[in-house]
Amino acid sequence: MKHKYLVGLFDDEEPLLVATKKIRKAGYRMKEIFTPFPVHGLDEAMGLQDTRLHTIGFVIGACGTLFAIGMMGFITAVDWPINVGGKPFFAFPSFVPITFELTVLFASVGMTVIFYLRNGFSVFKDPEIVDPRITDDRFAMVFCMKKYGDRQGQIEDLLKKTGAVEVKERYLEEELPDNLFKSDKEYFESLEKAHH
Amino acid sequence: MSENFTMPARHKTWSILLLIVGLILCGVGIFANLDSPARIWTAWLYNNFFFLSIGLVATFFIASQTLGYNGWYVLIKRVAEGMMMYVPIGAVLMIPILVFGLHDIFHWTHSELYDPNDPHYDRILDSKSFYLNVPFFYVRSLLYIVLWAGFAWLLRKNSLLSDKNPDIKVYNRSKVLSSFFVLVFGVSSSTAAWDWLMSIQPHWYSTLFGWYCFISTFVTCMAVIILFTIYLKKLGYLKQVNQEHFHDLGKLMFAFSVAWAYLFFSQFMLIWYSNIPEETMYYKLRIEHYDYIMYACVMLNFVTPFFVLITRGAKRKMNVLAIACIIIIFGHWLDYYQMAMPAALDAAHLQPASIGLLEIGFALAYVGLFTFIVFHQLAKAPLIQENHPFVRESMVHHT
Repeated sequence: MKHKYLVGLFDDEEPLLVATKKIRKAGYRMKEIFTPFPVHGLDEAMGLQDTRLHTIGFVIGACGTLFAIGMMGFITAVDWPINVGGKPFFAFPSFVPITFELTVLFASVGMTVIFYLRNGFSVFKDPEIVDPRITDDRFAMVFCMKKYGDRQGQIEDLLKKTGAVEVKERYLEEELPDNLFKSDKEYFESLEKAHH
Repeated sequence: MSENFTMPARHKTWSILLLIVGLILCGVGIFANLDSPARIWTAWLYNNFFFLSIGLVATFFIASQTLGYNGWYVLIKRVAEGMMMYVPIGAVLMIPILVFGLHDIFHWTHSELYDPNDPHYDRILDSKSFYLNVPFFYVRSLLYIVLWAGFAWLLRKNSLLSDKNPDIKVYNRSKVLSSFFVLVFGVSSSTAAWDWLMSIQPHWYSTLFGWYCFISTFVTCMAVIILFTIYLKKLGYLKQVNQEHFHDLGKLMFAFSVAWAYLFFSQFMLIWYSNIPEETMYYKLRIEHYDYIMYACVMLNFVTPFFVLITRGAKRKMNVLAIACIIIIFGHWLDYYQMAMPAALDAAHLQPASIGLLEIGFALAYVGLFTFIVFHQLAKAPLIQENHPFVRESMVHHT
């Protein structure tokens, strides 16, 4: 079963930001926007919720901290105590560097894995790309046609009017993962606030 | 766009009142400690050096941002410049301390330590005397004072010139000045910390002491910039400064708080682990009598800012930031106390002291003086530098 998407391609970030806000104001929610580089302010323009990735990073990092202290404490103070230079068996200061390293390792690896899982990436298969030029110089705004199938024509017009250089249909084998949007009320309030 | 600041009369009264109250407390403290001049001079020295360093790091902040072609900071540049103009005053205030308090603060200046026939002869200090001798010490101190004050004055003059002169040459000159200042600062910030703080305990040395002091004051400088900016915003100035600027300043403050903890711990752990007497004496002295201050420093300078500022939201809320800033400034002030006072009292064979009227008095007086000078300087020129090529970038700044 193929999934149908409508893709609008933009050639620069400024028109993209303006178009995103206009399309959101017209009442449509894009499924996803693909850009060749991080575009500042795009999350706000799309009305995405703040990412939860850093919370996950903190939690996994804290797990790493506890794991490191627990492991070294168990080894050096409980399981096999050795007197090193007259220091106490549970010599906390000497644990700190390794605790720090394990915290960083846990947080970074954990965040990467969660990021991959959440976005449906895998090292074992090539991802489906809506258009190869999004890795080069194009910005692709994608709409889900399962949701907006009856209004495809209106969205195409809107994309062209807001500066898309190309609009096309695209069928993907797999569904794109969902983004978490703010509620419309919250989004328009945040736009108002940014405006003043 | 041009916005001029006038110091509210209320603020003028407050800062002068703070200065007077501080001086009175100080006077009481001095009378109570007349028998221990080492404490009086050291309290003055570390307070003066602390506030001087804040101004100095503000200069470094401007210079490094200029060299990095950074645009985001331009709206708050004048705040940092106001702090920078404290440098000449703080540097000049260093002179009476170093001239009259030299023998009371610095044990190594006593001449009997260098006489092989004297029972007090100190072989270690004698071997260090090629660097630690009074004439060279004065030459270095004078160099710092002249260079720092000179560069602060030149950078400020150049910045004021750009208000009237739209020529890009003015901006280019600020780059040249900044690069020379960064060179000077890179060396002198370390050596000044050795000379004025580390040499209070001359047998002990730590190779990262200079960076430790620099980072300590860098965090404080960020905190002070944030506090002044928040204050100006609450008065209705600097409308274009938004939460994005606070977010960036908060990020710097957070990152350097962690860097402070890194250096603090690096210094501590190596000494603790290797357990060599002439190194451990630094911590022995502090852990025996000043342990609560050391642990308070770790709590105030690392643990609190780490957990308060770790979320994105906290760095974007002015009230949370302001509280964190006040905690951080107090914490680093304690840290400077902890670096200077224990050794000076020990060398003068005095009882371990604590934070008393003397230290609080000096601190209040300096806070009054510092804020007065910053606001006085802010009132002198437009609040946002005119004709800076990156002004627009700072106004549309977002993360």
